[in-house]
Amino acid sequence: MASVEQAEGGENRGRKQNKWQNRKRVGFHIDMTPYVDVIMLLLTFFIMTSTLNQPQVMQINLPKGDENTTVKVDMGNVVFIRISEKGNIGLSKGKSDGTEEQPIKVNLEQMRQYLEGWGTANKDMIMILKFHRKAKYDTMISVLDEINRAAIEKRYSFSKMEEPDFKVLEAIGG
Amino acid sequence: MPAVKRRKRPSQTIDMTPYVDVIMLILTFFILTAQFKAELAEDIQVKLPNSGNDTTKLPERNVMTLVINRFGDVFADVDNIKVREDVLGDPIGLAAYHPDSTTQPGWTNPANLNDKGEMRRPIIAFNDREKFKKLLIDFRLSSKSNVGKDLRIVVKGDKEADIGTVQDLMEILKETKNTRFSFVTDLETDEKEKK
Repeated sequence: MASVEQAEGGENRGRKQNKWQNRKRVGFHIDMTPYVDVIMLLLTFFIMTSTLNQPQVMQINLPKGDENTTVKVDMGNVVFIRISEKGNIGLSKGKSDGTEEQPIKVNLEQMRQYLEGWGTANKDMIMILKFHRKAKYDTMISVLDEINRAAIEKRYSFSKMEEPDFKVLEAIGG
Repeated sequence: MPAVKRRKRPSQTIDMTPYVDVIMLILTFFILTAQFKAELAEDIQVKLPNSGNDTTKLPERNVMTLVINRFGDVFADVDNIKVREDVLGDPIGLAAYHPDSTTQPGWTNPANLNDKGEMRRPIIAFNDREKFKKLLIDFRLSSKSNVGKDLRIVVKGDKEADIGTVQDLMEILKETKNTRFSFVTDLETDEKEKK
């Protein structure tokens, strides 16, 4: 649809001599407006449909093997992280004799600092995560994220919450 | 003022070429960066949790998406139509499973699933845990034979979902030997980090 306008050399028509030399060339121009219109439409379309923030992923590797295989660990290396229904975090360290220390109630920031402290002191530290079934998934991601952020060996495993764990959590206020 | 009147106005044309050049550059940029999502389980709306430490991007192809919504439903979907038709018998079907038998599945009410309140994809419900496990295995096998590559598994959970559902799903994944998977998260914004 672009119109090409070209001027005829009107005035010089009648003359016989210098027919070719004298004809003035008039610069023709293409009307770009429709072209720009289409381009703008395309541009709008692509801006609208493009997704700029691509979601990210957090890689999880579960241990292979059967449900029945048990791994024996030294309780002295174990750190329990328990998440209550309300999203509170109870942190406690296991002792070598099988018992565990008094749990402390921490927030995410404190949890990371404790874990970093213990993790650097004991390179074999294993974290056992116990989540209350009714706690929110958001809390779980925050905890995992905080563990990933800590400058320690990321050795953790998920475990089911059982009766004694509820009591431990009650001790820190549920 | 005859002098002014007589002056012929030259036709005013603005040279659009530089303007078009720039627009073309922007257009090229957006065309190149555009990614067309295979209509993954978009029909189910989830609010992704934030995390600040993940640098891995969501894989684009050959993905099995497991969506957990806030009602505790698990939806399984693959991005390959052939695999979907192979396993579910419906090229646009969406497999759904509700692990917690004590609560009602949320997909019975389409308004629960998205803003528009309409579901374009037929839901194929799995009520049995064993059948759902078999489905996940079938997805993998079918993808391997149709595409030739192993499926990557991503878990897309809603912020408000119960951890119990996630744990149930993780158990199923473990039992079906899918020990490598990822949680999809949104990048944490700076203002949240300050809290």
